[in-house]
Amino acid sequence: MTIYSLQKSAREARSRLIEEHGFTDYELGNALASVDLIATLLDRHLTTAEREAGHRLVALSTWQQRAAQAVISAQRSRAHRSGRWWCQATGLAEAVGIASVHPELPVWCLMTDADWQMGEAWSSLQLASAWHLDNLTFVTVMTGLHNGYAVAKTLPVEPLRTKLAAFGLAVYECDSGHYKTMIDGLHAATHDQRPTAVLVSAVYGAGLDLLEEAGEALLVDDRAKQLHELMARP
Amino acid sequence: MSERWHPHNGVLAPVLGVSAVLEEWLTVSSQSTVLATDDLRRWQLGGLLGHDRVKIVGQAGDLLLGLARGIVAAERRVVIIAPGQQLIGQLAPGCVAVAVSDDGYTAAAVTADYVLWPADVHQAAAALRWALTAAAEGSSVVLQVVSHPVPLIWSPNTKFSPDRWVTVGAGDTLVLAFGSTMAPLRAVMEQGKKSIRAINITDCVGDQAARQAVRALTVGSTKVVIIRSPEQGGWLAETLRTIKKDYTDVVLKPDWRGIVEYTDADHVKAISDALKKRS
Repeated sequence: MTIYSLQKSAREARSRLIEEHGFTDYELGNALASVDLIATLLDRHLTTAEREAGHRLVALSTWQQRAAQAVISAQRSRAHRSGRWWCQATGLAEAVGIASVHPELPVWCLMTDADWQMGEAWSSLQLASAWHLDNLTFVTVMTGLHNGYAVAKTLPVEPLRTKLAAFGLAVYECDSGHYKTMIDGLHAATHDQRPTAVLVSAVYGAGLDLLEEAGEALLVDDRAKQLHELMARP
Repeated sequence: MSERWHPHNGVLAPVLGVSAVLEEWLTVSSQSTVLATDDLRRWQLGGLLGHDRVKIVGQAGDLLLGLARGIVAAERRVVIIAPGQQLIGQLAPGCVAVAVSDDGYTAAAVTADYVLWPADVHQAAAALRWALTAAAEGSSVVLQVVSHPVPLIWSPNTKFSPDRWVTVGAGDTLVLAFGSTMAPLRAVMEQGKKSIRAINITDCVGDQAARQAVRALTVGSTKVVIIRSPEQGGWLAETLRTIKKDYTDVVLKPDWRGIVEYTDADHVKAISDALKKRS
């Protein structure tokens, strides 16, 4: 797919997400923020042939999983018909478990920045590093918001790049607003001889002005009420 | 605590029983994986250490159940062996966990489905064999190794289907025979005691065998006879004693060389006498 086609499928996926789920959960904003990345990932590294060959996607959040389903429908991929290539996990350990028994197959673990607040995430990283799981990539969509509050105010995870590197991971950064950087970042991750992390900066509620503005206000001022009012709508 | 029930002495035999089955399983099945904490080294399970499908997570026992879930999602089979207190969370369907409580207590963060009795290699091996079959059919099974005897845990969530129960009625004699003690028992049965319902319980999990015995005894009119060697089945006799149930315990004693010759005429006679006495 060309970048234009990727953008088009991401737009369609966003419409589907909003249409199907509405403003029912704060994590809708993170799902919308993940759509561009997921569209790129599915097109470049989890194509139908790769999924059938055993490449895996492990999603930690239900909403990112919903975003992936919306992208699959938008890209009219037949992957959703063979459901074995992805799973929803309760923690990073599951992704490590999968990668450890299939060292020859790429495993992508999709998560948000708040997932790094879990202690289990770091002990899983220790193991991934100790077991040299270079087939494992942790892709983190970073909006800075989780459950309607700023991650930095609740339990800061920064400096994430430094921490991940200290755990022995190769770290790449990219921006979900610029497809070329995502394509390059994901490509580089597949060629590193270490477990890898890709940090994707993204805009909460991307593609939906109301949510984008509300999220931005909350990141600046933790007393901002727009987002909470939006979610409280009947 | 007496030396006999020192925690390490208590768990070592069942852990060895489990280990022997795991070694065999790893050889037979290329889909198999064993996850363990580095306590495996403390238990001196040399046969498992170094195998490329035995993965040691150091002391990161809190990851074991998550890793196992991933391994099952990757369409592989997995057995966890670790101290009970490190197994925190929900065991995924298709997994077997062996929770070893060698700290002198019976603490385990997961709920045990079956308790492996201290110092009983055979029961542990049989239990794990059964658990592997159950896991292959999609069940999750937690076996707990305890360091000293405790009454079995009676769980309403039995993993056994009703067809695995032995039907016992009034006047029946239920004989629970361990391993090769089946040989002299068979000889007795061939002499005309064909109505005896004999079960070789080394092929069962201890919990199931104990349930069968207790159920039979609770019916009232059924008799229970246990036939065993000194090394086998002590856990069952202990359980029945604990719950104050009456039964006949036939222990086939080893000869002066320390060997139990099961086809020995004395053993056949001992069994025959016990059955006569009860019937």
